[in-house]
Amino acid sequence: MSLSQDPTFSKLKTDFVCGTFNIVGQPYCGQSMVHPIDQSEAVFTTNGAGPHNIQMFVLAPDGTVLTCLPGYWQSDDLAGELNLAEDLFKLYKDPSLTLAQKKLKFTEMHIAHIKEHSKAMVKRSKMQGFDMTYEAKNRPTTSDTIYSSTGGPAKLNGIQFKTTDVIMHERMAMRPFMKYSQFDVAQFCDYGRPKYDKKEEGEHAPPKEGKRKGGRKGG
Amino acid sequence: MQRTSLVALGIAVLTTTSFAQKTNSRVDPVTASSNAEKLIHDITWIESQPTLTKEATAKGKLIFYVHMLGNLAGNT
Repeated sequence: MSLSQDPTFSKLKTDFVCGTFNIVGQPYCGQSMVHPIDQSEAVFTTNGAGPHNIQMFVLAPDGTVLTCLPGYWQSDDLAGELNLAEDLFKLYKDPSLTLAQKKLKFTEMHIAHIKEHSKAMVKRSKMQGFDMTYEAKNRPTTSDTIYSSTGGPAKLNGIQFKTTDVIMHERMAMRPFMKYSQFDVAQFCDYGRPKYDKKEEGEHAPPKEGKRKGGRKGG
Repeated sequence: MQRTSLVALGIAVLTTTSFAQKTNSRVDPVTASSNAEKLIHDITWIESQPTLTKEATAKGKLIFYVHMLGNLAGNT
């Protein structure tokens, strides 16, 4: 999510009140190896990677969820989603519409935003390989992450998966102006296996437990 | 399997990515730490939900609320 990089950093600093919540112990939080910041390199990853480890909410001041991004998001892409959240807040405050009308519009805006994503963003939003493998193995007919059950690679049993930017908006579209206290985080961020990350599976994979020397995921 | 703080994402992800993506490579620990410091010191991060709500209401701003496995400082 590169919060320290512009355009996101400046936007957060100027336009938002920022907060954090340590989800250790929460039923939906992920598992991974320890990655000390001062001992290992960071590597970049794809949008939506690590959905069980990070969830970024944008809330109205009263705690209404405008959007939620699971996992890592590249700075430019995240900034675009922050802009959408600001537009959704304008909708939320619109006195000329009923709540039902606002909810309908909320859904439309989230779905419409998918088409505004650049090709580069879509490319950055490919689900991690091991997450697709997990979904293909464990939820081959029921997962909402599946774009098509045919036409995909043999290693995924022919399944083609949606990109994470689509998954995120489709799931948000079904949760119009929901209160944070009622938001089903576990279900919202539930895709892929609950631990680990792409770049650490290949040549940069860390040693097995107890043998790790370094290499932080994410990036 | 050990559970982690999210330095992994809170830092690697939270702080270093843009640079890494431009170079399609990795970010060294010094740069990652520097980015994390910038993030922590230049933006006030609030952990109390009531305080967040109060400040957002008073300032008329939206809330950016990050759930993370761990914390921004990198403590596990």
